[in-house]
Amino acid sequence: MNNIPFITILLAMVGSVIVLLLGKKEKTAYLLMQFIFAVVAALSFVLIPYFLKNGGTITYTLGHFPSPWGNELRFGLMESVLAFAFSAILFLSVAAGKKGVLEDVKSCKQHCYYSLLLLLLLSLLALIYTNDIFTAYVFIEINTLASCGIVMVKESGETLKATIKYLIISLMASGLFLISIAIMYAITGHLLIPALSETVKTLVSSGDYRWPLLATAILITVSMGVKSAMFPFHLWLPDAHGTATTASSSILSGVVVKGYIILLIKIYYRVFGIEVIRSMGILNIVFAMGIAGMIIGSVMAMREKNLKRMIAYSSVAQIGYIYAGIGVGTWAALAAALFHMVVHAFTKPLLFSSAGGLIEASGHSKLIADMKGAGRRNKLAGLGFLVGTCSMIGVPLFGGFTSKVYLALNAGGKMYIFLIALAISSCLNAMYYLLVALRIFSKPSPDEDLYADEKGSASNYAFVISLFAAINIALGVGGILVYDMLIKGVEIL
Amino acid sequence: MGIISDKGKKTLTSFSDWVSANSPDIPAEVVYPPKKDDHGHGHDDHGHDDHGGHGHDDHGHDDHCEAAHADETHAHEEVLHEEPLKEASHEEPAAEAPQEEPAAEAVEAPAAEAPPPIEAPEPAKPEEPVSEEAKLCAEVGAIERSYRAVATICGIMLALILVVTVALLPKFGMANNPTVNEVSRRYLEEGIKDTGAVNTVAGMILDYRAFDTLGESIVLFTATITVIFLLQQSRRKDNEGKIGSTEANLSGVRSLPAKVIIRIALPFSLLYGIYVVINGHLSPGGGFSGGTIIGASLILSHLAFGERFTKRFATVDGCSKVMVAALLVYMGLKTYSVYTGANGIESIIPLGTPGSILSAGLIFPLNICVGLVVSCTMFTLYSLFTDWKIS
Amino acid sequence: MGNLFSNYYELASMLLFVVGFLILLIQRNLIKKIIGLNIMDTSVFLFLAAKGYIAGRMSPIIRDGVTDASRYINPIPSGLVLTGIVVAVSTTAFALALALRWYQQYNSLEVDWTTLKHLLKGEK
Repeated sequence: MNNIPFITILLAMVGSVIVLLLGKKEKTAYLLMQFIFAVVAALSFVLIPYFLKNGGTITYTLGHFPSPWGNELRFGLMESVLAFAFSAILFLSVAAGKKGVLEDVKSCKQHCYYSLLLLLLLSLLALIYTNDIFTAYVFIEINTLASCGIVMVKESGETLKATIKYLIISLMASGLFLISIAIMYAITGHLLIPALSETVKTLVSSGDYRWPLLATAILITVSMGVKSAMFPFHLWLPDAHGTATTASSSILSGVVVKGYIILLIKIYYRVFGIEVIRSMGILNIVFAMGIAGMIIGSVMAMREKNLKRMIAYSSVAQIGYIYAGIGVGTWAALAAALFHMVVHAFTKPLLFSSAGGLIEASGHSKLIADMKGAGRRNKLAGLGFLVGTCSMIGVPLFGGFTSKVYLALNAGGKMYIFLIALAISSCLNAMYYLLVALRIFSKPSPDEDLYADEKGSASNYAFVISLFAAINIALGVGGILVYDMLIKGVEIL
Repeated sequence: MGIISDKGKKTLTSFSDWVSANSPDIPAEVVYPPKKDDHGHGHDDHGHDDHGGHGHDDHGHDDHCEAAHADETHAHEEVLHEEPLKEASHEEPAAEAPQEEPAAEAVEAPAAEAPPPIEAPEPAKPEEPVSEEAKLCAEVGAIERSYRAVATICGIMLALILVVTVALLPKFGMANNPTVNEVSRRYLEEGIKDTGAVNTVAGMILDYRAFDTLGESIVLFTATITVIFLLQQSRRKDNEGKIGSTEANLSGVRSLPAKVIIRIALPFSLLYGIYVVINGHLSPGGGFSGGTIIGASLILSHLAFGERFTKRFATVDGCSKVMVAALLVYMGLKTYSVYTGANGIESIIPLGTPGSILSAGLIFPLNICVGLVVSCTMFTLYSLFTDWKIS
Repeated sequence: MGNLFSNYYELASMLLFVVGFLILLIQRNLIKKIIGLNIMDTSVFLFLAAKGYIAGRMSPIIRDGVTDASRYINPIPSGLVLTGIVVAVSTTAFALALALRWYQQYNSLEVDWTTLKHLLKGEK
């Protein structure tokens, strides 16, 4: 049982290497990749009942030497839930976006794309499981390169621009992360999280190195904030997520951004300890930025006329929710934020995949103005979009509603601010999403009905969209189960 | 400084809002259907995209703003640094939080006022494109100047934060620094017993912290994939106007002395690289440094004698195959040691006598794998870059 | 002033970090941006190397079987620098490849408005 995380990491690693060898056989490469995603998801799922029954966490030594000497993995309920969710989302997003991939990526390069996706999975798993901040740095870099890679696969001028922007910003953030690790190492002498947190505790109680600790905390927050598109640093996101191929957009907004948030949570709770972060005032900043992101992301999304960019801006708002939840600084709020993260991770790929279908049904125009009647031409995509919309707005019975309720209930002393922001943000969400929904289902005037009747969608697309929608509703109805799991997982963080 | 930062933030947020409001909605590549549908969308207050056929200039403008804006993010992030500091000094974070609110909301106010400068060129658009362009130029120039000023201020702030941090760090080169603790002590004192490697750095990166190093090789691998992705296809296109002459690529430099010297030096540098790799656990060096030397020798031979010579023993495809094989072996070996280590199984690999070439257990084969990965990566990257032709 | 002037290596590395950071921010030329990136990374390596140094001790390669830790410097930063260098090489390679593609697409390495406008005109 305790070997499972390492096995999943190893599978992703070996898979990424072998997929590259399958140069000419794109089909085999695709199947192998999907097989690995599925196996990783299944293996991670096996861990969930185990931890539900036994509780606690497992520390897995990578090699013969325990902390503080050798690398380690550490995992519990939260990690298994997240690993399962992430690998499942990767599987489903790629299945839904396969058509787009076949169109956008040259066939002789598709194996490279699949290899990059596996590397992405590898880095995400490592970021979820790692117990060592330097390992985290190395895998952040893999994640950065792979995610920039999956943006640029379309090889158009537009994606090139988005990739360069994304790469430069990410590398700057990596630089900040590296220097903060270096400073942290200089004052503590440790890199493994258990030893590090011990030392930080003694440093805090003795009052030594207060400023360097504060500087490290700030730099790490900023660097992870940049990478996960926290509000003032979100400006790379619409380009990168809005221009990439559909599968990449789903993956980037569904899981990649979340990997960094999880790392930040780990650093807050396990390295510094949340009380220290709170007394430094960083939590309040994070909360304020989350609130600002909630509102401004929605305002930006409202102004967008490009469907994919609109969805991307809505991610900014949703990430704002997550950060607001983190900024409250209690276990329950953190679990609510994680739950919202899971819901968003399942909803955004649904929206992007449906948007891909809608865009295709309106003659490959991404403009919302051209979408009139697209939902009628591609009914499935239209319905999927509707479900995603309901979830994002927070209609009861959908995932987004449940997670927003948990976030609001657990906002503690900041509840009023949060509720006001939540109300504004939800109204704005409703405005722009419903406008699109109305437009795609409105009957086009005959002279506009240029793209009559696309041929029926592929069956796996239909399957994936309905599965995503079903998961969304399931999260809405049975969200309490997942939330309970996350609370249990978070409390032993 | 607080005043400056607040000011900076204000200009920045208003600017950022302004830019994002005008970010390019029309992707350059997409070919639009001819129909011109009036957007029934609630909030296109600027109507900036409705220029239709005249959209080029706006486009460039927007694009630039976005590019500038990308960097703006960083400008902004540095400004933010100031705030936690303020809070920390005030010691009243709770009181500060509501104050953050107006700052965030304030963004909307400038945004509402921002449109005038944008709307200004609009009436003139069909008649006099030149003047509009000039206006945009002036606008962009102003933005650029303010952006640079803000960026510089932020850089200075970052410098201040870091310099203050340095001043408070432990003193340089002292034996009682926090970094000198039980971790480094164990690496030094029991390194030989634990790993069998005389070179403790090799012992550390390939045994104690081997997972990092595996990740590091994967980073190289990722970079290779992305570079192959970006450059391999275009390489096969036959375009004229290449950078660097094909002749030099094919048969190397013309200069005779260079060829002679490289011919003499090549075997030695290759040998030295191999020496560094296989002595990685005994002396300074190891897979990474040795692999770089071998890669450099391959590159040197390519430089001097051209592709005709090097393709006999090193091609991009061959190198990537070797790299993949080495990575697989590497992963296999590491899996063995991780599996045995984590499950409390005694590893059957003997550590050997410290100091002899066949010692240190897995470190010796691992160094060879790493060396192969690194040298092949170096050569692959070099070939991809040099063979690539720009149209 | 604390240890500001005894920590001159660290001071220099931090200043270099900011220099690289600013180059990455302000320069419009992609190649210069990449150079800035490398300056930034390298400054961190200098910082780490300085952190590993202990006055009067030897490099961490066990000599003559003497395993007394007080004779050798700290081996950990050296390993971290090694990892960091490899990561920096990888990111640089990727960024350079992107720059080449950018050049192919737009015939320029500048990422600024005038070029972009010109380029987008050419593209249509």
